[in-house]
Order: sequence, then structure tokens, then C-alpha cells
Amino acid sequence: MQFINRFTVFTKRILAHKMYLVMLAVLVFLTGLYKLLPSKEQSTDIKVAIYCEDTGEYFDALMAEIERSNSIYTFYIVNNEDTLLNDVKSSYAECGFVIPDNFFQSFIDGTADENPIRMYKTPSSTLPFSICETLFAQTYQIVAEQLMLSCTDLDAYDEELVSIYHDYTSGDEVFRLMDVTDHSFDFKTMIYRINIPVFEITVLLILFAGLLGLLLYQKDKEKRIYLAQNNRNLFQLKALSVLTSLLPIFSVGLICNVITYGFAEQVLQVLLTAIAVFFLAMLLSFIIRKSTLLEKVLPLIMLISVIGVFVTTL
Amino acid sequence: MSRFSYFTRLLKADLKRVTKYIPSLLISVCILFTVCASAGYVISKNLYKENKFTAVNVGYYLSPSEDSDMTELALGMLKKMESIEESASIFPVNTIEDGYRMLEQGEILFFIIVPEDFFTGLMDSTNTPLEVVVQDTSTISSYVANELFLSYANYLTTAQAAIYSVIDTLRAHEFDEDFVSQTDMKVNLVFTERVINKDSYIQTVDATGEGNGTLIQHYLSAAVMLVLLLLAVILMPFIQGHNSGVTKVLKTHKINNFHIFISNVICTIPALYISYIPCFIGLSIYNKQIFGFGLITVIPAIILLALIMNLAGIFSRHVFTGNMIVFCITLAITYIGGGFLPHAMLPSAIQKISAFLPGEYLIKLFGHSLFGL
Repeated sequence: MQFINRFTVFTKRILAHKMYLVMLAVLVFLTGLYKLLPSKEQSTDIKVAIYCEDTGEYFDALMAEIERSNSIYTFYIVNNEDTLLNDVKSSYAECGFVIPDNFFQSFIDGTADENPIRMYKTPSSTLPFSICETLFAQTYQIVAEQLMLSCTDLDAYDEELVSIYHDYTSGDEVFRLMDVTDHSFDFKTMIYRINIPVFEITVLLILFAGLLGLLLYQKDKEKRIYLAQNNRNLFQLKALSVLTSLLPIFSVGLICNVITYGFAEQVLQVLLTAIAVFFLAMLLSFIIRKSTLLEKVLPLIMLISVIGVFVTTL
Repeated sequence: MSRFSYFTRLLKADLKRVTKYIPSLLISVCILFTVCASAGYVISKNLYKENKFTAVNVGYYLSPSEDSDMTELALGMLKKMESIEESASIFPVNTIEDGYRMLEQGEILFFIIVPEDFFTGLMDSTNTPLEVVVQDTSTISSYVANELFLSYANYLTTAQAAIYSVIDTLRAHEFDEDFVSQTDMKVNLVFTERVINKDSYIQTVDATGEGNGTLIQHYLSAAVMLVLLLLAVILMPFIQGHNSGVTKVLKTHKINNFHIFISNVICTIPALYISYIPCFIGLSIYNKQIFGFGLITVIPAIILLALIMNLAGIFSRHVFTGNMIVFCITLAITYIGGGFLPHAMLPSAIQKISAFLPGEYLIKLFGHSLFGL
């Protein structure tokens, strides 16, 4: 009977704690947010940002040629280098190309190594050199006519040369490789839900609740509320304080995780976390005996936990 | 005594009081900095996970012919291309039957049959067809490899069209055969040179840096900011140190809560500055360079941190509540300022409000002070 009384009193006290109620509300809010937000459809095609500083007519021809080639990479134009860099950094674009001013002419002149295209990439960029090959092959094609004229040096026959060149490029007498894909590629879109880390936040809140329970017990003890209690009773009160702090957040967390993930691995992990936090709090009570010290250490423990959770979710 | 004299006395008393916290601050800064800097290092190394594309296996069969040496040379060049190295693995098969068997068993995705005198055909415009057999054309790997082969073919198509056009034009106008041959050679060389040297026309730039520095420098700067903000845990008893009795006495001397706040801020600044010095020394050793000027440029950041801490202190009644407020503010400022994730990775709404909050500027100030960025 005494145990039930104590349990009820402790539970009432923790539920009257404003910070605790905020923690419970956070969990419910995040779960609601996860369930209520509509699913989004996202294109998974490989995006490549491109910014051109070259004001000549070649760039438009290059983009038109890329469009015509039905490439699996989606090249899109950005207005400045900062946007390009931002898109690459945020992994929106796999990589980004900045075509410097006068690049196409220097390519024709054979001096493009002094004025190269800048390719921005990160370690998570997939296939940057294969994308580069697509861009370069199209560049090669659009400047080929001028390249041919510049290295023949036969001004009088330029028109004839160009005409024959066009005949060849549109005819079947030059080498061609046919597209062998069957156009059934279906990786273009996927449905996704906005990822809200309900499980990670539950773990953090359980940890915080456990330590809060210990802190409340230590404060009570320092106020000499339990002066008449023997060691056995003190241990029971301490365990009960931690347990009652854990139970509401654990129960709500469990329900939220079931709603979010279904009966998945996370649900079991929430249970294991609650058990681990209980034992951690009990162990900590033997190391940190004063509430003032725990108050100072608590933010550090929380910080390490936040960083730990952040690093593991990377 | 004037109000100013009382304020000076309050300031002196507070300065004396804050010196007692210095040992705890220095110990805490060492522990916190080790934790935060290590976390920053781990995050900076793992933020951009390396995406490895599973290389596509491509088998090829070379029909015995007179120009097989030339074909081998061309294949050798192809294998060394960076685009091939990152996406395909090319190897020979002994017979056509072996190639088909490997294709059926999924050992290779593409099987290329190089016909007899393939290179001779390219030169004399007979262009003997190259047979490419594909087992699965629905995977992303097959699309990537297909696009790669189409790009290589494009070089060949373009160069051939140019070379044939020049030869046809010169011969149509009955130019001397030597001149035709020389011009053919020249065009051939120019078009081949552009393809061979294409890697030098692309400069690869690492986009992982943040601001003017590297990602690790950014995270270390953010770690220092985080550490100094969290020192509020140690300084909160000092900030909330004037109980109601002391406040009442001070009020009789015209010293109100605002004066106490100013005095606390002034005293918090040197405490934070002293705490910053171990971080500065540690990172200067790591960086193998000391930016002495940084010890001056960091002062605005320290003042801002002192203000944040003291504001959290006056808006809370208890030390614990004050600590929790600072903890929440710290996390918010660090996140919005790009201390956990680089600015570009933050949601667009957060990116917009980032400019109106101090986190971004604080990290930049610490970056400037520590690394001269």
C-alpha cells in the first residue's frame, strides 16, 4: 500500500512539472506532424548544376544539345556560382560545372587548360567523371565545326566544308553507337515522408527524464524530507523517483514510436533505452550525490547525448 | 557616495567573486572542448558520405585481325580514363561463347564484340559495326554505362565527320595529295589532342568547405562557440548570485537590477576570455600557426556570448532553469548558425532566419580569430 501511495505521489509530482509536460507535448506534436504531413514525391534523377560565364552563342547550343541527347543526367542552369556551390554542398546537385568566360574559344584555340571548367564536387557526389564525360562530349560536338575550320585554314572553302560536315553528322557514313537502353528506367521518382527523428528524440527525452527524476529525489533528500527513512527505504524512494519520471515519457514515447514506425525494431529499442537509463540513473546516484553538481553535469550529459545521436544519424 | 562609486564597488566585488570560478571554468573548458572538438572532427569527416557506384562489368572480345595491336592500345587508353575507372570494369573474354555465358550468368552487364579490322574500318570510313550485347537494360548501372559509351562514340563520330569533310573538300578541288595528307593529319591530331587532353580542361574543386575555410575549421570554430556558451552552467550561480537581500541593499544606493546586469556582463567577459585562451592555444598548435590578432578580434564574440548568458540568467529564477534555458538557446543558435550542419544543408526557412540570429556571425568571428579566415 505504501509503495502504491508513493508511486501515485511521485507520478502526480512529475506530471505537475511544466518542463515534463513540455517534453510529452513535444513527442506527441512530432508524431502528429509526421503522420499528418502529406507524403511528397521527389525526383531522384541525377541533377547537375551548370553556370556559364561565357557570353558567346555556344552555351545555348550546348544546353540544347544536352536536352536533345536524352541524357540520364538533368543539367540545369543556375544564375551564379554561389547558388551552384550551395546546391552541390546540400547534395541537391551531384556536382556543378562553372564554364569560365571565353572557355569555348580557348577550347578551339587549344588553350583551355589555362582557362578550365571548374567542377565542384563533394565526397558524396556520384559519378562526377562520367557526368563530365557527357558534358565534354556535347561541348566537343558543338565546337567541332569551328575547330575544323580553324585547323584547316582554307577560308575560301569554309561554306563547303561546313555543308559537307553537316551531311556527315546527319548521315550514316560515320561511326555511330545506338542507344541500347530500353527506356524502362523507373528510378525517376519516389514517394517519401518527411523524416522526423521521433525515435532519437524519444531516447533523448527518456534520458533527460531519468536524470530529472534523480535530481528531484536528491533535492528532496537535501531538504531533509526523508530524514526518518532507513537506507532500504531511501533506495526504494530513489528507484521510485527515477521510475515514475521514466514511465510517462516511456509510455507516450512507445505509443509515438508505434504510430511512427509500426511494431518495428525501434519499439524494442525504446524499451531497452528506458531500462538502460534507469540503471544509469541509479549508478549515477552513487557517483553524484549532490543536486547542485548534477545540475551542472546534466547539460553536459545532454550535450554529449545530442552530439552522439546526431553523429549516429549522419 | 555617488551612484558611480557604488557601481565601481559592486564591479570590484563581482570581479573578485568571478575569480573563484576560473579554475572550474578552465577544467570545464578542457573537458567540453575535447568532447565538442572530437564530435566536430567526426562530423566533418562523415558528413559527406562517400557514394561508391558499383562498377559495371564489361567484357569484350577482340576478333583476331591485323590491327589488333591498335585496338589493344585504344582499349588501354580507355581503361585509364577517370570516367571508366569510377563506373566500369573492362576485361577481355576468350571466346564469344564465353562472353554470352558470362552475360547470362550476370557476371558482366555489357558484352562488346570488336570485329575484324575495326580500326582500319574507322580510318577508311567503312566503319565495321561494333556489336554491343546487353542483358539488362532497366537498371541505373546499364543507363550510366550506356551514356558513357554514347559519349565516347560521340567523340569518334564528330572527329570522323570533320576529317572526312576536310578530305572530301580538298579532293573535290583537286588539291595536291601531299597537302591533303598533311591537312588530314593536322585535323586528326587536333581532334585527337582535344579528347586526350580533356582531363586538363576540367579543374576539380572540393565543394565541402564552409565560408573561407575547410569543413573541419568550421566545425572547430562552432565547437569553441558551443563550449563557451555551455560555460554558462558554471557561471550561472555567479550570474544569479545576488539574492533578494543584497538587491534590496543595493537599491538603497540607487543600484538597480540593470546595474547588476551590466556588472555581471562586464565580469563575465574576462571569465569567458580566459576560458577561450586554452581553446586558442590548442587550435593554434593543431593549426601550426598563431593568429595573434585573433585574440583581439574575438572580443565582440565574447561580449555577445556574455550578453546571451546574462540575459538567460535574469529571465530565470533558479540555476537549473537558467542552465536549461542556456542549453536550449545554445542548441538553437548552433543549429541555425550552421554549427551542426553546414548552412547549405539547412532547410530553406532556417537559412533565411539564420542571417538574423547571432550563431552564423559568432562562428565566423571564431573562425577568423582561430584560423584567420
